[in-house]
Amino acid sequence: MNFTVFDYTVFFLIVLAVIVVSFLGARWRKADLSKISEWSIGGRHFGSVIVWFLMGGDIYTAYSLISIPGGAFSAGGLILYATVYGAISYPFLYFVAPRLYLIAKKYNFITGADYVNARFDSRILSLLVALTGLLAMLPYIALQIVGIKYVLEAMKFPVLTSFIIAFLIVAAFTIVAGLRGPALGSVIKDVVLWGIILTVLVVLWMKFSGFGPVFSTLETSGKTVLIPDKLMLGFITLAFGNGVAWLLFPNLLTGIFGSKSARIIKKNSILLPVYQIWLMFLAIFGLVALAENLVPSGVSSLAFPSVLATYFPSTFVVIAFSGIIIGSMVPASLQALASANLITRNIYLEFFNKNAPESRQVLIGRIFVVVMIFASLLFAIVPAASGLIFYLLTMSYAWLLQTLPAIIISMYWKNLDKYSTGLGWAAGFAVVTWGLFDVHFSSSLIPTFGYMYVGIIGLAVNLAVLLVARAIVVSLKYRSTTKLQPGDYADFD
Amino acid sequence: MSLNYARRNRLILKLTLLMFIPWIALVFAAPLYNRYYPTVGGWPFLYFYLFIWIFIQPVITFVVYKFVDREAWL
Repeated sequence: MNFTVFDYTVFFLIVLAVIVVSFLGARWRKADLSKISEWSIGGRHFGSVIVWFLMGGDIYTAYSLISIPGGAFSAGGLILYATVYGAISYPFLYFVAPRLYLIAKKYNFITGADYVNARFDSRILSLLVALTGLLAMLPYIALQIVGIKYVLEAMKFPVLTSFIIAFLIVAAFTIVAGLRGPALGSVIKDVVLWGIILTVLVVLWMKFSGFGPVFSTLETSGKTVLIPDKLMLGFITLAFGNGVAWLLFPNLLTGIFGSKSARIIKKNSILLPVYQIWLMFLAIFGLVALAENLVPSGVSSLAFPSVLATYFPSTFVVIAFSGIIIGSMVPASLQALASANLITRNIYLEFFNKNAPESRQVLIGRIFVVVMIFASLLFAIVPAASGLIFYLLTMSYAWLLQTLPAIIISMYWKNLDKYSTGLGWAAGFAVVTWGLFDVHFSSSLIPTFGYMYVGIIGLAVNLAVLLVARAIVVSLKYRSTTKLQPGDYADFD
Repeated sequence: MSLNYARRNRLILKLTLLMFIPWIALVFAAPLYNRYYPTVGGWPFLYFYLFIWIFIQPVITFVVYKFVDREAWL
């Protein structure tokens, strides 16, 4: 596809607008950015609308624009687990997150690992949780960079240079504005992405009269649009496991902790599901590509770009591309911020410099934003490593799921001790890693267990070990300690 | 005592609405709704069913917000 000068101008204007607005974030609602909670979680000032954009900006990224149609294109109905797991996540968010938020607010916690540290009075367990989070963040940031690379290549830019420039910008606005930068950037990002998806929807809806013919073409040609029977257990466990693991992502906790009150979080679990509409239609766009045979090469990640190139003029394609660029920059910035928080609070402050003043914590945080982005950049550029991203990505949800007892269950089971939780985590983590080696990282569904999702197998082992260890701990009459008060566990402001 | 009893009932109601109903309807009922027919407006049942649940689930959460937790919207 060829682009005109006008197309390029539109592209740059949109990307530039996001960058400018994100930089302005530093001045927005005047704050003392040398305070760690002001910089890293926006001082817990964010109301419903910003939290909606912030969390939505984080969950529904440019990656969904490529991977959901790609998934539908290659595996039919299995990809619909993405629309199901939201319905698990949001009520779970409603029920669980306010409790975590209120504890975090009282003690000025910034990461999930901060909570684990205080709850179990154990810096080792907190470190394990922080490292699990970091391991999960790295491939995610790298993936955003790959999204950017893809677009720049398609637009015939010198890839390596433009790519490095794009990421210097992301690093710069995260460093300057902290959470305020991406919070504002995500507003524009979502406006653009909503605009693109709704436009594509309306055009294709008219063209294919409500998509009915698309489904029937596929059905009569013998390509299934349903969930393959063989993968039913995989579908159920993926939806359930990812739905629960979702809340454990460090970058989502950043959005939750940045809220002004527990009520804001509850309201958002009602409002955020609107984004799920995207996922359903994106899956159908993938089926359009399959039914109309738009991707002769069969490369599934080309499904959505091919739909755009076939049915839309170049100017619209360019707008969509700019959407993918900013849809990658904003989440990358949020994820780098969440990782930097983990490193600063749970590694640097805890193990290297207990008495670091807040201004120093912000400085360290800023340094690690750059380090994380640079590490992911290397990941994305080095070809050997960029193959690894997708392996790590299948692991990240499964690994994060193993921190469920430490972060969530411990808020309800108040006697749960650090030894049982730690042993459970280790067992779950080992099982997940073994399972992924067993299938050579090709998928997160394990054939030996009837294509069950590896994260759920890990969680089952995790909980079994936890219960056995707990029985032993109780029989030894060990008394666990905590820095929290019994009255801290509340569900209302 | 009676206060605790009321609180427990509220908790059970909340858990049922927020977790058990969506879990059963969307996760464990998957083998039942994974079917092509009946189609609605040309959409296979699977797609239509999951699509309407995108709207049902926030409504349920709103009901909990408003009537179980009795929080004000604004």
